[in-house]
Amino acid sequence: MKTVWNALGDTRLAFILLLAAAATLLTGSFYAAGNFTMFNQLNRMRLQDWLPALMADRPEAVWWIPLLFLIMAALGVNIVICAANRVGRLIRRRRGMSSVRMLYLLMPSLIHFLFLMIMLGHLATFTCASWRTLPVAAGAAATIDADSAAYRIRAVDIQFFPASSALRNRIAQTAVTLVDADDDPVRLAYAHPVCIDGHVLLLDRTRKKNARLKNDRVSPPVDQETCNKANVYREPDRPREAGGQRLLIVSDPGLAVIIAGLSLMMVSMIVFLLLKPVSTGDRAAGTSHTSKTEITPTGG
Amino acid sequence: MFTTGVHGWLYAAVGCYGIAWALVGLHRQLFGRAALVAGFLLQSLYLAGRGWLGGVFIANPIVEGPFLLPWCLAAVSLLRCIDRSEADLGGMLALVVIFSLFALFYPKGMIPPTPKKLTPWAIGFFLSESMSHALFYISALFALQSLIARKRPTAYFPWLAWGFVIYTVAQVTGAVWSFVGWGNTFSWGARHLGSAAVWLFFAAALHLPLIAGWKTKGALMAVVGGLLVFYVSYSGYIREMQFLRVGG
Repeated sequence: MKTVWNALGDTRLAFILLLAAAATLLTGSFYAAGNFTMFNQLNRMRLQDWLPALMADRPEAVWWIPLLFLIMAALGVNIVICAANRVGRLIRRRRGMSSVRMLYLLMPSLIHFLFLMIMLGHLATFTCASWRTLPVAAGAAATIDADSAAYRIRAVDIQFFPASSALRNRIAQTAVTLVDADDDPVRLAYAHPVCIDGHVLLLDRTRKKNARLKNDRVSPPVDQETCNKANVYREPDRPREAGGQRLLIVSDPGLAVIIAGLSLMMVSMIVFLLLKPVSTGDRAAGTSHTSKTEITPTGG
Repeated sequence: MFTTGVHGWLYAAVGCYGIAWALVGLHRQLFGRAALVAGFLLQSLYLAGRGWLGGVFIANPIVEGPFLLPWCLAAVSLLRCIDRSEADLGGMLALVVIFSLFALFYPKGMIPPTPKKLTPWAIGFFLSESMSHALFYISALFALQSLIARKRPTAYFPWLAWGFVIYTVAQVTGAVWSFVGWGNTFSWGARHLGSAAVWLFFAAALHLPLIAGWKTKGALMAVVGGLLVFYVSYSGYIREMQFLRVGG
């Protein structure tokens, strides 16, 4: 049992799993580049609603996703065991150690637990989040969900870049004002979402069907859509109220976990490297032997 | 701004970098550093001018990877000059020149930004991404030198560690930007998948020195990591060469 426990928490296994995950993601990026529309649907759907049908229809393009989840699950187990072992050893040796030194030595384990937290946050997003869109038009009702207060879209204010600029006829920003039954306004704009009753409301836009734009250097065929959306925000005739605006209502239980985990991990890494004495840098860089029982500052 | 759309400033900067590299190669350290400072100032002015390419100030063209990366490499080289008088400038300047040459042939206009890209999160993402790439390339360079010359076997490691930390900053700013713009902290697209692959690869590389018997492979990992970053980022830049551009 102890042998299995140690093998599962081995740093060599962590290294192999990290490399395997990197290779799988890189492979996935090739498939995503060649099937933009198909993979883009996964950004608005739960994994369990998207994957089964495609595993049946296009297994050659999506096979790497279950493999990725398998590798990340194994990595999660490895991190828990490896970090728990290390924290246990540190606690046993804490006598005579200053609290600052102890905190410094605990930081790598903290970073590993935060990585685990981020992975779980992503799992929650992929399996439990929901995305819903509503058309945006002044006067229209905006029902966030059955339990929320009713909202109405009071105004849609589209701002274009100055006519004298090279970006004329392009949308610079759009402000949408929602009001509730008491006429209390809530304003949102592109990249400035608002949070209402646990839902995040964002402004989105899709190109209107059959919209033709002049001087398109890049007009990809429908089946070769790219991530470049520059022309989606261009209005050749500059109407007073451009169409295609959507209100995106997101409910994501993983969001706070992911952002908090990433931010704390970033801060922990910076603090750890800034506090790192020169001697430990040399050790981590491989100038000293790392035995199985030794506690290294950077060890998982 | 007086440098907007005047590419002579970029050509002059690249010329100064080339001269700096040659002078350092000829052991004229002082003159080499002066040329580096001149190149850095010229390129800074050129980058600032890119902000007005569309006729109104937009920061996005300033932080466009092919133009910002050589500037980041030059900034790190300059800091290295201040930090250590005997700094190994030659190799770092070679990187500055090589990546600057790519910028010379890259389309100089700006990709019209959508409103979702006009957020400080996007600027933070591109800044941290380019700076981390610069550190990864320097790490790969020192690792390659250690593999060839069989000396300073761990010189690459601090660059790799700091590159990884700043790349994590890029992941944080990128995740926030992705959410406020598109409603996802992780997007199932080639760009995000490639970026996550790079992060995990360097996470693996950072674990290697902790493994007895495998730690000597760390330098090789840093070199492969540099090549991976180059492939992932420059395949994207080359694809973006076909995108519609304005100004420039």
